Amino acid sequence: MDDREIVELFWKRSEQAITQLNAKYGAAVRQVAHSILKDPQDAEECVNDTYFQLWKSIPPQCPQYLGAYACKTARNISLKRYTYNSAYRRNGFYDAVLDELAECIPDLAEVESEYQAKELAEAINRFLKRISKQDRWLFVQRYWLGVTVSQISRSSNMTAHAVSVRLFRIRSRLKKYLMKEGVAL
Amino acid sequence: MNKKLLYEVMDMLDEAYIEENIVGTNGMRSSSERNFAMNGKHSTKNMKKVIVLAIAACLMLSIAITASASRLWGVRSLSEESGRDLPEEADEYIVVQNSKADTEEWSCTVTETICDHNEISVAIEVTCSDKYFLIPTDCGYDDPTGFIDIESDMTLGEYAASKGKELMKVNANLLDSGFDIGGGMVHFERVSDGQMLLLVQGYVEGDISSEQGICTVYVTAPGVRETKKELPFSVSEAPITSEIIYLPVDSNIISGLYIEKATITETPLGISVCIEGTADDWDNIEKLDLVCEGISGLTGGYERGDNGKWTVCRAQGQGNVTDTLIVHVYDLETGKYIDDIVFKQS
Repeated sequence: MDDREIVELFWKRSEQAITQLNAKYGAAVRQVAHSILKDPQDAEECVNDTYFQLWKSIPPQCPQYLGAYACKTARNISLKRYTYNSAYRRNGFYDAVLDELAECIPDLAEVESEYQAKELAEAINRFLKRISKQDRWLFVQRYWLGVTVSQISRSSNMTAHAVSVRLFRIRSRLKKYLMKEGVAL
Repeated sequence: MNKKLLYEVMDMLDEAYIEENIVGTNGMRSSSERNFAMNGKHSTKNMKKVIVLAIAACLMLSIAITASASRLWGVRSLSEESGRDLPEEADEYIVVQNSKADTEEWSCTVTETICDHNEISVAIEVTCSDKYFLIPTDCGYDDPTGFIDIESDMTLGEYAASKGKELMKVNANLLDSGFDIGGGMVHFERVSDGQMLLLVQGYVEGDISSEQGICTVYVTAPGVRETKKELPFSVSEAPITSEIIYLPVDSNIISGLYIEKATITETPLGISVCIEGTADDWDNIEKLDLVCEGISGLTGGYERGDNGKWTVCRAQGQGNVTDTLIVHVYDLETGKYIDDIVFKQS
């Protein structure tokens, strides 16, 4: 079933929408939740919350990329759970991932407004368009999904060292690009 | 920093990229797409495979290249393209080369080299006749052109065919260089269909005992008889400008490990950090991710010695060296923070 048909099922308030969505994008949604939360039970609860959230938001939403929309929803719900879980812990792993990324965004401490965040996000999107597909895959896996270096290593057949090197070089290129684009705020 | 805002920045990532990289594969990559370890970054093991495939060697020395060309296609520019900026002081140790080999279908030239006690980097230019289209060795006919930064909807094979060309795969390594090389990688930069630049790096395990070495360049393509060329090169080792020993405040802070010392070495190419100790079980050290505070860009791996001895050496770093070294320790598998190892200059 294509995305348009699944979205139509949502709009008709048919429970088949969830069944079809799960069949088509369940694996991706689960991967997002598992990558962020690590705990299978927490992740499964977030998958259910994601479906419930999608049920509430479509309609009125009519997403162009249903899979990406579902994954983004799963990520947001998982991050809320992650923040809650790690509130009293020092240096949660996803914070460490973001720290890694923050290294290549000069003066990020001054990014305080939503407008600046949007500008930065748009620059990152433009940068991602310029780099190779492989590098884009690495970037999204690591910094959007929070996948560990060793997991990326296994799924890409690269050594962990090579993954680290490549991520470092992507970050360096991003830093240069942001400076060139004047987004270094 | 405002971490919540960075969450939001990442949340605004274009949905097309999420569709492409997560949803489009149901969260998993196909093996052909996942196997990109060789595309631009080569492990020693992979390079050895290419050696086995190689057929014969022949060497010709030819004309010297000009200094301006070497600067444009040399170590510095290729390092920058690969994401690593060399310090200005490194320029003094970049050696312009004049080693070239030709065949009927292709030719290769060493343009520049640089080295310190940790690494040797060799910049190479490979060109081929109009009949061929150069690609990195692990790219294939069915791979998208985006793999080598060409924007099109075609595969590499289709792209080459549309121009009436055949694919020619290229690779190079320093395994038979005469230096004690423990591993390495190759960065590829496409200039045109018939021209590719390679930055070949080797991690030095012993001493730089000679100023001369050999870089081996390989191609594979239909109808090509000479598939391997060996290019001699020379190096000028950048000296160690400082070496500082640090001792841990608490040698037993990480369970299962005894930490003996850390050594920070600086050369004009950058900073390297080596941490030494012993472990009850090798897994105890192998599962850790060590991040040195204030020094970015460090890369490297673990070395295993006798009687539980281990050494973690990371090189190519940039940053400031102070009298205190703080190493953040994470679980490599889960990314979970474990603790900090604090070292003080001895």
